[in-house]
Amino acid sequence: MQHEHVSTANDGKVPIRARYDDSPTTAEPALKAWSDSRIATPGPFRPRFMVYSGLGSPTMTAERLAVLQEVGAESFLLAADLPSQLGFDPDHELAHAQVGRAGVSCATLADFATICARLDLAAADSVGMLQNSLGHVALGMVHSVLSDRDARHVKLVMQNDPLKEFTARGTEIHTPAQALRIAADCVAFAIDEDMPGAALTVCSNHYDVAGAGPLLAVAFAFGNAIAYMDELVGRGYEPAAIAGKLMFFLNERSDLFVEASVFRTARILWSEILRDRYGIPVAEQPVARLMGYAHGLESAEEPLVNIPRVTLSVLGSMLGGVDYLCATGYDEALRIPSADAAALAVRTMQVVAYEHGTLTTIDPLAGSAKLRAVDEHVMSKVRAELDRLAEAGGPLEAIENGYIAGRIDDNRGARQEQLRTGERLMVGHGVFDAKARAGWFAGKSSGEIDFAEVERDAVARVTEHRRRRDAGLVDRALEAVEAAAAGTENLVRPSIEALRAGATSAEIVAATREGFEG
Amino acid sequence: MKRVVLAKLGLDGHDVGVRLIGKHLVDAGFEVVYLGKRVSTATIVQVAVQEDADAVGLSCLSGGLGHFAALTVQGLRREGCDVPVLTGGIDEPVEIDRMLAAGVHLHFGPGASMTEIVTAFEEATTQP
Repeated sequence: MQHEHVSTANDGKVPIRARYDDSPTTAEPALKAWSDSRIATPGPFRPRFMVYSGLGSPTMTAERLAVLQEVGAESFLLAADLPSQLGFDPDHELAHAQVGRAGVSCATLADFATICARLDLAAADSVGMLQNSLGHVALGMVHSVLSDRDARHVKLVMQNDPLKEFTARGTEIHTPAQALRIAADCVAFAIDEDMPGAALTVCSNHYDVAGAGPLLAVAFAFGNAIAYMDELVGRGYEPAAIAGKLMFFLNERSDLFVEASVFRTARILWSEILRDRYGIPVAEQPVARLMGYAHGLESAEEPLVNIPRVTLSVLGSMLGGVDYLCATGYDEALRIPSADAAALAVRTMQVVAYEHGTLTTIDPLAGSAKLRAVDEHVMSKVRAELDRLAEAGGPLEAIENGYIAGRIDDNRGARQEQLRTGERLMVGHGVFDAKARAGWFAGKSSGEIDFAEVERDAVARVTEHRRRRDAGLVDRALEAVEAAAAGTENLVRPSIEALRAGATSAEIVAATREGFEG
Repeated sequence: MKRVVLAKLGLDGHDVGVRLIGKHLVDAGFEVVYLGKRVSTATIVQVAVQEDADAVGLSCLSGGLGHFAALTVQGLRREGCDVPVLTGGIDEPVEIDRMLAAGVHLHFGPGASMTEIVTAFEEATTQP
């Protein structure tokens, strides 16, 4: 048996092993491969502290990211506003009143450079964006800024998962087949350019939140992962190389142990898929990369009480072995989190990771009789749902024929029903009510953003940006994007050229559409 | 048969609610024309006039409800079309007040029941 670290860093000096070898952690091949990859370094076996952040203007967001990096954030996932996520310039008619609201307004490469300007990239683990339906533009922005700042070691945490948008999140732009093409171009580009990290994060999170529940959501996510893998295998990429560019964004928002199980079992299930469908032996599989977001039971009443709720959600995913974690602010049900609430969310992750011995041991719940039963249920349900998805025509066909939307509809409302009947309880909502003492639990959250000013500023900047650029250069670059979309050339390279020429995201999306529609 | 035009406003992609309302309106005997997401107010006005709609239902949860709903009402009135416009979703209270003052017939926030909403469309489309 290899020598493994033992810690006695607790008041009673009780020896705690980094791994318990008489447990499923070493008996189960996927968990063994994962724990082997982590055990070489001493604990805590913690995730990277990620922030999902973005608000108002690029300058405001740069300030926020700098504050969060100062308190220990390592991974920066940019929240962009709806116009930016959909390929609309901030001065488009339909963008009004949505500029800088759901995230930062990021219309140009210059905007993205400003957003990252105050990040210490030498210290950052990773950077990424959502931009699910315009992954080529987003990856182009990230690639350009990392290259310009000599920071190509920074890993990617791109979401770039457009297939779930059609049924679970709502920012689809193109057809499912076209969306798949763009997402796969991004993964291919990351492989070709040897960009470390995740070029695509396959999400179960949004299916769960849309109403599917966490287990059906995992099955839909794995279905999409298979669609992306198959597309790239069809282009001649090695399955192991493709799998190495993926991350899984998992979600469970209601039970600490089911949450832990969803993360642990995802490693086992994905490993089975890589082995059985793609013929990669476990020893040659890249270790799965898992992301989580501690959120989901927050209430706008008694906001401070969300702090223990988020803490428990952080604990659940950490016990399950999450690799990248972000946590919601206690005031997120009220407003875009204030800086102190966002910093407290980072602190919450740090406390769980470093105190109370939570992560002294890798896979600490392994061997629990309870977890064995929960795992078994979770895995059999996910496998059964994957089979049903295949019978329904597979992930693309199941978008078109309504199967996925239908299954989400069938499951929607389960939580509300459980709370309504009293099967589940929520403190301060019908049990232990203390309306007269609401002020005790309010917190100090404040700091409203002047969104009208943010919109005026964004419109002025994009107007000035268009005026200053070389229109001929932009036109030629956009023609190259259109030509790539019409053919099979990778879309990321011409998108980078277009961004550098000064094209806006909206113009690149429009050129992409022109090319697709020929 | 009474005809209702439904649409999402702005860039909001949350269309579960509006589609569900569409389904219940069909069940209640309405003919429903759903224009989908990211529809300009000019398009909504144009379709409502062309289709001789009896009511217009607008949904937005992500910002801009008040602005786009008020623009739609103005556009309809400019075309001489006085159909009732009903809205559902979220916006700042001051924006909700402003759009109601601009002529939006009724607004429903989160928690409104389906029966309540269908009844409101029935009443709004019944000639006095």
